Amino acid sequence: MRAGELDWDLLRGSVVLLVVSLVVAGVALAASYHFWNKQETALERERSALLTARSQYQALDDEEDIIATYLPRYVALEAEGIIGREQRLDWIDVLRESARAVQVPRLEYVIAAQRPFETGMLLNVGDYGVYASSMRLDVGLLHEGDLLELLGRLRREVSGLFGVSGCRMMRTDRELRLAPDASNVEAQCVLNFYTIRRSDAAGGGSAS
Amino acid sequence: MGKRIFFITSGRLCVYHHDGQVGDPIEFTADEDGLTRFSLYLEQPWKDPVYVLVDFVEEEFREEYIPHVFGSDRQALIRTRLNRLFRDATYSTAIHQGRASEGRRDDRMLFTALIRPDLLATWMAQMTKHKTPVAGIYSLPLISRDVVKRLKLEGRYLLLVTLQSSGGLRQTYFQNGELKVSRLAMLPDPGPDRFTSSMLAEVERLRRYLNSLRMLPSDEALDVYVIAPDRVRAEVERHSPTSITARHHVIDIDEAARKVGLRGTAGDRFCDRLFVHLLARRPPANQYAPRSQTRYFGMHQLRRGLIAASVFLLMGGLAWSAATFVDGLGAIEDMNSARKQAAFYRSRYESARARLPATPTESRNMKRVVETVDMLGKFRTSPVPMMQILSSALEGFPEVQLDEIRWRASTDPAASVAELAQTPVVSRSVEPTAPEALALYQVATVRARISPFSGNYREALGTVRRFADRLRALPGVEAVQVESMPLDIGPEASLSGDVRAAGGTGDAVFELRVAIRDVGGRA
Repeated sequence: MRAGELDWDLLRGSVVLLVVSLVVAGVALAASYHFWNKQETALERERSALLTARSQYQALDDEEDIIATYLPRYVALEAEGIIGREQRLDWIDVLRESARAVQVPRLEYVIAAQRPFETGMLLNVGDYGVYASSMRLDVGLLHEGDLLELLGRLRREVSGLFGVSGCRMMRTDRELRLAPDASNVEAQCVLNFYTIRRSDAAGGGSAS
Repeated sequence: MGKRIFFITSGRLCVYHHDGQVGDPIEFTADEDGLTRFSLYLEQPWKDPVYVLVDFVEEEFREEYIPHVFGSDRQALIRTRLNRLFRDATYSTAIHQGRASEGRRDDRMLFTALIRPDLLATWMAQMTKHKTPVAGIYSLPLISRDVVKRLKLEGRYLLLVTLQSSGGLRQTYFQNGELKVSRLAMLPDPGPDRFTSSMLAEVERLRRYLNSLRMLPSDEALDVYVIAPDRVRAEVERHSPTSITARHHVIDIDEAARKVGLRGTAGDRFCDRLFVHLLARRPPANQYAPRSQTRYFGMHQLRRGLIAASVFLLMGGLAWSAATFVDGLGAIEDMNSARKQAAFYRSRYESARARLPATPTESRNMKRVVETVDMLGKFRTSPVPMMQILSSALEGFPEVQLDEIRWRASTDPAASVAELAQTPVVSRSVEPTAPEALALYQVATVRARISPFSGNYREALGTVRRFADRLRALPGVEAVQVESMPLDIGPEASLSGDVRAAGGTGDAVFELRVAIRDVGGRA
């Protein structure tokens, strides 16, 4: 049947019915889908929470083991100043004591601002981050062995975990001077003090 | 859904409503009063489609052959032939009845038409005016084919005889099951007393007519099937026993009605209801109405389709929505259940957790932090290992005096030692790797001299080489490179000196680069 042959008076009612049906069906479908989608999303959230709660509960035995194994060490590391705030004052005190004990003629230090430390390792530290503060030592020595003695004392007595990242030792004169305050060797060393603490922000202090 | 059959005979229109059975007719006469009543009837809000059934004397049949063509060519050919065969082909149609067995095998067609359209005009005008959905215009001969089939009438030359309420005797002739010709004879006295004799006379007249047209061979018997009340059978047998030229079969009208599926009685003597029922049940493909008069039926169908689509859409949409909504309610139920379970586990966890010692942070954090501290042991680097290696190497080389050592720890064994603090321990080029796979090195550049120096460069170079070899031989040493010799004897360098100079006056300075693997965590 061609369009020109159509009698719209006869068809109007059925066309209106079709349009109304389309609208009603469309609205009903959209509304029910919206309702379903909202409930499904909420259900997924609750299921996820349930899974977490169940896993947490089931992992309680593991947690007990973890606490028994790691809590003493964690507390000890906190006491050593490796976890938490840096003990800079302690570093300086130990440095001063060590210089006196080793009888170095001269010792100067510069401690830089703490920064996140890139370990180069894939570590999962959770909400924590690894940070490093570098300490530059400029020291006059009677002989090379004093430097090793100084570093050894620091290692034993200072609070915190540190590594020596670089050193330069240079003989000041070809003739060895034997006076106690003589500097036969000049040395500069860079020490990195590592600390673990809660990240400043999400992703800050990345350990990776 | 019901149907309406408008049975039109000369001067009369009977309306039959059919909804599985045929009701009593509403009769309208073709005069002013009848047409007025008919118009009022059409104004009623009945939406059932109308099938017009006509029973006119003025219906012609012509058998012709046309070339076997298809599509629009065939339509045009048929239309041309209809216009040529009939004076007025408004109500005409063509029935395909097979193909010629010889020659180009043309199509054998039966062209048929209602040659007095004016008999229909007044009725059709009313229907068009009231936008009546006319599905088609059919005639008794067109329906008769279905009667033969449904009643399983047999005979190569077959004549179907029925009496209609108009008082006419409808005789439809079939040859090999194909409709050939039909005739409506008005009986002068259609009453039951004279019916048999009048009917047999008309049949004999038609038989002779068929003989004359050579449509019925004179030596062949004609099977005459009369649909009439059972009492007619005895009269037929008495008046005209079976002969060489004709075999008479009387089919009880009620039995015929039952066979075609008509419930109730077919009527007293007339076969109108039989035809009405067959038309309502299965309208034949061929009909007479031109397209313009079935226009409202097309719209009626379209309207029904739209309503059906609307209902389907609405019901489907609502059903789907209801199912989705029920799913949503199910999700709420599941959600409440999950929430309760989660609360249960949390409660159990909290009460169990309360028995554990307080921790400064979550246990998983604690474990990770402690493990990380262990990993950081790699970075407890110290120059002691390098110093020990250099000390070991110097044993046996008293003439070698160290002037300067630049040392550093790095993940890169080729790292520069020029600046101490500027370069990080971990090389920027290192991709994050597993803790156990990360390797640390200690690299040192050692500047030294041979003292005392006799001026014998050959001996000095030899000493440096032996010293380097000594270093390489020590455990843990990765690489030893001589960066500079006391004397550069390479072809690229320029070389000058005084051969008369006394020995021991110059310096034999050299530089080595040593790399060792750091195991970490040393004091």
